[in-house]
Amino acid sequence: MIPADSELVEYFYGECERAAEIERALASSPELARRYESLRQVMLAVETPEAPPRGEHYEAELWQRLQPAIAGQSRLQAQRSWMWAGMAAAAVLALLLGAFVLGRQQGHEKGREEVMAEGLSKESRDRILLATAIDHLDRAQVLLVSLKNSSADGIPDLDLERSRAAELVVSNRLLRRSAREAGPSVTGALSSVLDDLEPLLLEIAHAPDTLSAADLIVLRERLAERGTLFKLRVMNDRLQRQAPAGRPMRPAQSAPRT
Amino acid sequence: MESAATVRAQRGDPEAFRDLVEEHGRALFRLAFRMTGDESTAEDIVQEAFMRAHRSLDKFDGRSQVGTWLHRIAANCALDVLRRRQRTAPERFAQPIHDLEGADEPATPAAGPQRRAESAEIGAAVRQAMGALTPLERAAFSLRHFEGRSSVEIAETLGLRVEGAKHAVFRAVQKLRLALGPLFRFADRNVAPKSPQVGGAM
Repeated sequence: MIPADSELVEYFYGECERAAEIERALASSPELARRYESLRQVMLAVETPEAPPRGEHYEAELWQRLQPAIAGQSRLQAQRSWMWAGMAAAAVLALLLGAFVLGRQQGHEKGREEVMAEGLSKESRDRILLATAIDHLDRAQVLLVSLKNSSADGIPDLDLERSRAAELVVSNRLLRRSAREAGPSVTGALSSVLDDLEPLLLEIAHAPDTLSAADLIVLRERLAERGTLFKLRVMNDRLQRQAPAGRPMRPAQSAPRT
Repeated sequence: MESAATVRAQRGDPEAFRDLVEEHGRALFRLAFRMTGDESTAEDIVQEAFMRAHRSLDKFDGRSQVGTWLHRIAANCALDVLRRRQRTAPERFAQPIHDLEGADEPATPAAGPQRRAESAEIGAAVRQAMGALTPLERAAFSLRHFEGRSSVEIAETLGLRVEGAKHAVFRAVQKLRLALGPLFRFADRNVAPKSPQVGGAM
């Protein structure tokens, strides 16, 4: 056999399937042996570059350089996922509210059963409302827990928390209207919890850039006095028990229990 | 094969991601340097690789070691840099790949003047020849020759078919032979076959 150059390269790197045949061919053909030797010498001349040594604290320095960018990236990712979850919740609630209102108006004209047959059934709407309410309460809890746990120096990323609170205000209003439309049999005391939540969300959404330590303490005290976080958790647990297994349309993550 | 740090990093724990940076930073720097031959470029590649890894942590499925996954990301960052370099500054692309063999340094402690001169000449020629490879050839060759990766691993790393990876390495070797061959004088005598370098006894 006369191996091709590509096979000699593979043989050099120990990856040739016909290595034994090439061994024999090299032993029997001086011309082939010269060809291989020329390849080998060139390859051996290409030595592995020695990377310049890094200092003893290279890893720490590398992390120092990376950390701000990584933190920014994390914030952006969280903001995006929060934004999408908020937009999805608001869109679902707006549609749901429309369906409730339309259903009620048409219900006066036609029989209620007839209307239900035309669009979403009442059960479907209630299920969607429950799932959206759970998601909303989850996200509100995340925000309030972050407020509760922030240090005395202030909220680490006030801009982010303000924009989250502003989004929650919108979905809070839509949800409250939808909950009232659906009636107390479905959502129980949800409306009153949402009533309690809204002023807090508004305060966070409109917090000044120069939120002082004293302002933060007042906010936290208000949160504690009203027991809003506790009420949110109780309501969330209740809705979760009420929701059928495998709740549909629940985009956000679970709220931390801190 | 997810490490505890990887799982925690995937859940958004920055300290866990720091562990990954500390465990793999040096290895990624070495890889990036070998592929590009430039210290500051290698540093940029390490940072970019970790940023990319952080962005796509949720895509890491644990089927490979996290080190292998990071290595793959860094190799692709390096390939991107080589491609950018070729597009934007072809003259820089042809610069030396490393400063391993300075012209005034002896190749070995006992080397004589002629040997030192030859060694320096070969070193310079190697750097120039490496600089003339295409980005893909250089990346594939670096992974094969410097990192000892198999053709299958190179293909997986660079997103090629195995034959494509072999071909890229082969083209690189041919170009290097063409450029460096004249520097070696092969005796017109019978040469005993040598064992293969990688995977063999050499």
